[in-house]
Amino acid sequence: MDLSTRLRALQKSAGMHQPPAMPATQALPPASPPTRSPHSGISAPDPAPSRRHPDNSPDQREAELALALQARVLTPGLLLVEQALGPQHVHGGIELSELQQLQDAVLGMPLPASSGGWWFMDTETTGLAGGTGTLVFLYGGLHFDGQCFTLRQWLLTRLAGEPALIDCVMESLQQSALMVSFNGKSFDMPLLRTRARLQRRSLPEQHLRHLDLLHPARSAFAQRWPDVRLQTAERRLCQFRRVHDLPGSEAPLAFLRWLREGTSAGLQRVVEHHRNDVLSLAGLTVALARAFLHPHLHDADAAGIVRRLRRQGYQVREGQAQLAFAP
Amino acid sequence: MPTDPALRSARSGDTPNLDAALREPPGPNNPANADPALALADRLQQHYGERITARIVQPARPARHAPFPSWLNPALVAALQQRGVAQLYSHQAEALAHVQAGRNLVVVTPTASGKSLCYNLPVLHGVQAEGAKALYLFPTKALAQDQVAELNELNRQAGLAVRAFTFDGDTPADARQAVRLKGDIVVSNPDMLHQGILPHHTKWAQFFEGLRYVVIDEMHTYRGIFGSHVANVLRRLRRVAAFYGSHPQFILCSATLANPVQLAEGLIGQAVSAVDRNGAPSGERHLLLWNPPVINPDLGIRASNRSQTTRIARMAVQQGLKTIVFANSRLMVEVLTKYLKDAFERDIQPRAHISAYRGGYLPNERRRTEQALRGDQVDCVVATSALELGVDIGSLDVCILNGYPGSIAGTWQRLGRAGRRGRAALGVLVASSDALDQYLVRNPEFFDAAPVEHGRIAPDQLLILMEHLRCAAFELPFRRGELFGEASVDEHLAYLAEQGVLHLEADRWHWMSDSYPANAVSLRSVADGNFLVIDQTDQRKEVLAEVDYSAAAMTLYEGAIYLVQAQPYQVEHLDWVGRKAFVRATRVDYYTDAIDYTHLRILDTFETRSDGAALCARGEVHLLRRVPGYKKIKYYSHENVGYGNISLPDHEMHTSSLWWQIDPAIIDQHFARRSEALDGFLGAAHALHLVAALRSMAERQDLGRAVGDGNGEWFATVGADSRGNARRPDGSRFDPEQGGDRFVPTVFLYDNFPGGVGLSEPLLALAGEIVQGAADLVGQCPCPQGCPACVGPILASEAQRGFSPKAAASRVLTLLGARAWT
Repeated sequence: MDLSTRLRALQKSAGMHQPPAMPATQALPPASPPTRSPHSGISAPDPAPSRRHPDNSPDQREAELALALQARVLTPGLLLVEQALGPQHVHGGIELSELQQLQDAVLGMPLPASSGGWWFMDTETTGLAGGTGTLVFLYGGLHFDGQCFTLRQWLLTRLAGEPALIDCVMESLQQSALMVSFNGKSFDMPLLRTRARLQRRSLPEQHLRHLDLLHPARSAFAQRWPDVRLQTAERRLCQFRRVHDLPGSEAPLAFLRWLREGTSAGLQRVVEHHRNDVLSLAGLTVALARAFLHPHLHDADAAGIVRRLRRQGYQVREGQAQLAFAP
Repeated sequence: MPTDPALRSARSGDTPNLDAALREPPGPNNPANADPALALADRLQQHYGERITARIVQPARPARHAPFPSWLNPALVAALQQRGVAQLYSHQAEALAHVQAGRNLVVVTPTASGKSLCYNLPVLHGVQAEGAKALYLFPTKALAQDQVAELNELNRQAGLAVRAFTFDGDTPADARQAVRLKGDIVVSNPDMLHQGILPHHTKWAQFFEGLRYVVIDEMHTYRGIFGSHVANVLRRLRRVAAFYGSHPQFILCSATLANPVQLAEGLIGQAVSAVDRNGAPSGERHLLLWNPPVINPDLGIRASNRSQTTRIARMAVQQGLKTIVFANSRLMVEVLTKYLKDAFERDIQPRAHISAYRGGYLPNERRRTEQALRGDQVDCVVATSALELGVDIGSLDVCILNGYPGSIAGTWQRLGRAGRRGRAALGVLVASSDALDQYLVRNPEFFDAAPVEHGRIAPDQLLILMEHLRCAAFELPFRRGELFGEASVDEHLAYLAEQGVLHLEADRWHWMSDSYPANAVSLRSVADGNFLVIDQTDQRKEVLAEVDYSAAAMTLYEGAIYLVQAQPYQVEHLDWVGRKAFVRATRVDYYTDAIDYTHLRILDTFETRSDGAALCARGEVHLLRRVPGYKKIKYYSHENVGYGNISLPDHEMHTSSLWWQIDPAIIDQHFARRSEALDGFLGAAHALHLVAALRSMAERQDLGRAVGDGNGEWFATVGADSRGNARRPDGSRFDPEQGGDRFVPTVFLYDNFPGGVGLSEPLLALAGEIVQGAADLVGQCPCPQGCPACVGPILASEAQRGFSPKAAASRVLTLLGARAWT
């Protein structure tokens, strides 16, 4: 009796859940065609046809994906999508250049000068389970040097590219004085540290300040909104609407499909989704700063904001329409 | 552990010449009954002589000492000397030498022999000298906490700066980081290692880089399925440690077993040296085996052991002897505590202080009881095995076991709780009516002779192995050709890749699934698919209990009376697919017993021993279990007061088994009727099962028993008339007289776990002794025709009919065991 027959027999006798008889790759649901989104009311265009290239070499498939994403192949297994955005870039209803005027400490944390590099960072992973078995396959962000914005996204196309990816993670951290994330303190950074450790590296973090927008967003809006997720915040505060966005929960599947079948359509949509995420981080930083200064104008919870600022050691005076505070 | 006699004596301020009293054994010039515990033993024997089946005496043993090794950190030596420990015991010195030489080690010595110094000294030394890290694993959280307290005390006395922390489910989230980064010695349990540490090993990088010692105490608890899981967790531990460049040394400690080195090597996958010559002194120890009196001679039913235990405990406390009573369930702890409190309530003398101690009490409450015991504010404590292990409760005089704890090793561990320096200790094992208890009190040599219990594990059991391969792949990618345990697992990994859990790229299998596999694997349960028992009394909808998948069909059928702490609940609805049973509290005077048709078919024979007339073999079997109905049995009278039908899916399983058969021609020569032979096989199976479980240290439900046809055409059950019935798999009656030459009744003892956990192979090696043991069990039983203690329950009508199930079983056992096997 071969192993899988024996195992099925044993699992059946143990009353265990039966594993699918066919390989899981075939059991994956088909890449869902974009449907009419009930929120946006915009009908999505047809997706790029997803192709399967069983005969092509991995290098060739990678090259084709790079072409489609307008990316560079940094090393076999790792692509870089890089794009300079003008200083006047607008995300939703927010002009990102407003970051230049951001008042120091407005979100309850002193901010290093933007000339030292601000890094609006996010990751896409093979899951939410955490631990050593979760892989970061897309890392990147929006880099702001006080003047210009540069978008950088590193995409794993093979697991062999992970050591190079970690090098890039380390470099991006070294080039920044401030990192801005959404839930990065509990999710992205522990995961990146784990991936680095598995490559026997350690992330340079000593110099880096980390502003995790989840926490100020919660203090200002947990009492106001049904949930405080990135997409809720960007919709309400930045007036940003996504068009046939790939739900974040489908990102792991898209990566698996690429690895196992070589289909890239889903992966391309993940890159687009991630791009919107990091732009929203920049937009939200501006919008949240406004809400902290003028809670009543933005329907924010002034009491929650004051509590947070006091907890961080600030003196707060509540004015008519504005909070004034000093360290 | 603070129960080390050497440590204890220093605290209680005994005379410096500790061994003087022990060098004078009780003899003619030194009458035994001068000692209060022995006086009690004498009195019990005088009054209840017929209930005492044996008095086993372990003579006092003098200490054997050895000097501190010269390399040992002088601060540690000084700290011990301050405690009054001038020298080590010989086994401690021996252990230290092994550890210093870099060898893996198993220390096998009794309770209170100072075994914790065997690991604490070299570990503290290594931590101090080289910044080494150590991981301690205990089976329970309470033991881990005790060990940290002991380590901290030694550490403080020696003025070392070693940091020891517990890390378990109770460790607050904000303290975990500190444990990971600052802990020199981390004290945890296998479950936490499996689910909390290994899957997050990168957070423990510093700890693993320095990991030099792994200490595993109470090793004998890691046997069977639990032990097979733990062996795999340790494979994962070694794999992760190796990633960080560490190859730790293992120090294991165990209660007495027949095969400690084998079990230790199976657990850690490396060669192990043994230290088993105990150098610690001990006082004289008397063990009384106590059998409650027979109250129904026809059916062999005895008085309950509860009242007997209460009586003995009361006498001991009245003599001013500090007493511990062990019960085998939490419920029984409460019952006995109440009985004892009630008993002393009626006494005119100053009221004795009785305390209960069991799992389920809050930690603070338990700590308070421990303190009260150490401070002599409690006269008698009633406890579960929660107090069996190393928790420090000071010295006691008398230990009473209300029922056999399930293993000889466990019995000695509990008895080890009693014993003060220079005084004799008394233990009393009060047998229950359970067949195993009855067997043991009639065979005192089990307590006297060399250990017979084998701790067995089967780490390569396919289901268990696959679960841990998932966990291991999650922790670190597998290289093609990498060994896990002793064997390459490429085939298994390819299977997981095919299932979409792993991804193979360039000779490496990577975890590629959004799940946390360790959460799906519980080290202490058999397989997943546990049933929840939900109490819906008064619309409550509370989870009352959890039942293993394998036991569900036999206990949770609709109409079943399910007992929780003796409170009966009736199963109203069983949701088989949803794995839930809905029950309601009820009041009934009966319990239910499922009728179980177990039908085995031999698939493959691996090994056979035969003497021509009978054979014993092992191999692979297919098992089909059907539960067609149940009986309602009235309490006390054990009358059958009704039946119910059960409609449940069949349970099928491939597993391994051991079996015995007798040549059909020989059966016909020895039995007038084949139906009597069948009864003989059923009775023999009952006895063989009991003895085999005892030898293999298996829980009895882990080792199944069945009687059926060697060709798989029929199987036998004990019917409502208490007689053997043979049935075909479709349930129709089979008449053995019509079977012709193909009547081959077979006793099966099978591994009650899919695929088996390796019980049958060692059992075949012991087959001769098992048959002999079973023959003695039946032959020496004082009942006339058979009783629950030998061939299983019989009915009164049996005796009147003039047929003796006992005689039939004896005949079968004689045929099975008469000649030498080849």
